[in-house]
Amino acid sequence: MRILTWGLIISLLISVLYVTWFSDDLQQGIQDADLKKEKPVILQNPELFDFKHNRLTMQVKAKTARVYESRSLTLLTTIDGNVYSEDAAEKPTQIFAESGRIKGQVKLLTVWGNVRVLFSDGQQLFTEKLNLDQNKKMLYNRVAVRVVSDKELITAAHMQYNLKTGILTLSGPKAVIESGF
Amino acid sequence: MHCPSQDVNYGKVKMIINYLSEDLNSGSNQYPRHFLKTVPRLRSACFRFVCAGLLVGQLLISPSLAKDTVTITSKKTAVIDKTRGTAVWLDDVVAVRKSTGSTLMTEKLSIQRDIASSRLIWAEAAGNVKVVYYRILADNDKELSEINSNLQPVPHTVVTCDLATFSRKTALAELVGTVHVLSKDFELQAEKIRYNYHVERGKVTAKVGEQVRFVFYKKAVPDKQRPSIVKQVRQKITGLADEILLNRPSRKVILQGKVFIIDHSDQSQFRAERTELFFDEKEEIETAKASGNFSLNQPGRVSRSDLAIFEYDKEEVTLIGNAYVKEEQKVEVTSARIKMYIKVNKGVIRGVDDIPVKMEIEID
Repeated sequence: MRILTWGLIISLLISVLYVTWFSDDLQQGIQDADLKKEKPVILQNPELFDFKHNRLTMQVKAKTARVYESRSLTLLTTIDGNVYSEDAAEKPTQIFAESGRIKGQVKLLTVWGNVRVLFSDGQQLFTEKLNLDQNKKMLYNRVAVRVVSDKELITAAHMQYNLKTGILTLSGPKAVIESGF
Repeated sequence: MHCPSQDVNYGKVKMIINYLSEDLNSGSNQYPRHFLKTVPRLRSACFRFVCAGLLVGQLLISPSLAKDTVTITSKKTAVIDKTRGTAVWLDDVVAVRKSTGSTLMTEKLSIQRDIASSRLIWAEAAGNVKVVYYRILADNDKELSEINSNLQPVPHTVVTCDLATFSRKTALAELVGTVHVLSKDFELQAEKIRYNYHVERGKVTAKVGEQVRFVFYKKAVPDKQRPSIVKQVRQKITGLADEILLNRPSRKVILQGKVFIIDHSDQSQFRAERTELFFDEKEEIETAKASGNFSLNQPGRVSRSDLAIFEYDKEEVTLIGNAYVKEEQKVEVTSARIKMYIKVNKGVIRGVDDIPVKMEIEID
């Protein structure tokens, strides 16, 4: 009986961990169910801008945007976004994805489906899901990534990129680098 | 009976002493008995120290193979700073060069590249560094490896140390902290190897109070009487020196500070404070200059002098300043300058023109 109780507790803990840590998609499903109650404002080919201290920090183009005002949530399709550096001379980091959402209150952009990031140095990152924390100026995820440039290919379990410092941290990385580099 | 000592000016003294052992040049089956025959082996050993220092750089750069790749993996993270062009790989880092299979293992690998050209400008491996270096297979070896695909390739060199750095800017390659270089025919233990590949000069040093240790092996002389399947035992030479200096443009290697070398095949012992080795264009040793309390103990002969100059093409050594030679416990020769053959069993000793030689001969 005790074993059964402990077994139940452990499996419950694992489920909670999975939901909170690994699976954003499940949360998203719950949210989507809630969102059906609210009628969104639908925008075609919108262009969204984010400013900080009168400086443009982010620009997102999409095919469609469904805006849920009460929840400060925007769902996007076919995303083409630019995240601008504090250094005006630096090229923006571009983000492309099939779908995405913006949580306005926490300034969190999440994109998914054939996500591609084009860094200012020409290096590209491919993944299936990516978060952009606009407050922390941080790109991160917990799914596999592939970083590609002319002379190297890096695969990793997940990543974190600080847009302010330009530091990319890859976990469990494997790089294939053309030597003579 | 002891013969009273005589001061004799022989001009050119010739003294032939017959030994029981066969002449080395007559195709004898014996291995060379005197260690100095093996000093040329220092050539390959000393110049390969250079290769050891460059291994980290060599592993990451392959100028000869444009399509070659290096694969780097780590258990923890790779932190890439795009603005500075640096990358730091942490925890069980393994870098493998595809063309040769040469491998670098370490706890932390840091590299810096030029942002514009992506060219490697600096690399550092820190913590439990191990480099297993394979050479590119020659065509004949490739064919052999295809035939015997089960054979494990033997690494050319294995290097372990605490820290290895390579800098293109300063043209420096360094191995630091309990450096151990193990190659097919030589071994080296030191605290630090530093080599500037731009000026092609290097230095091998030991910890304070310790000495650089080196071991190298003479090739086994084929024994015609033994069947070829019997494995030949390689002859070991071990040595100590406070430091070793390498100067490739001058084709010079200097062993300095209590230089002591033993040929284990006959227990010949060589001592000097400093030994300079000069190499020819083929990197074969031409001359060696041993100075400061030089002594050479060979089976059947003991020599001492302030300075000794070995000329390998002539197979001669000139002892200069307080020169002393004692052969077979019977013949003692002293002079300001003595010229003799390096090979003991050639048995020729002579004075140098116009310099008196004092000789004592013990008569039974």
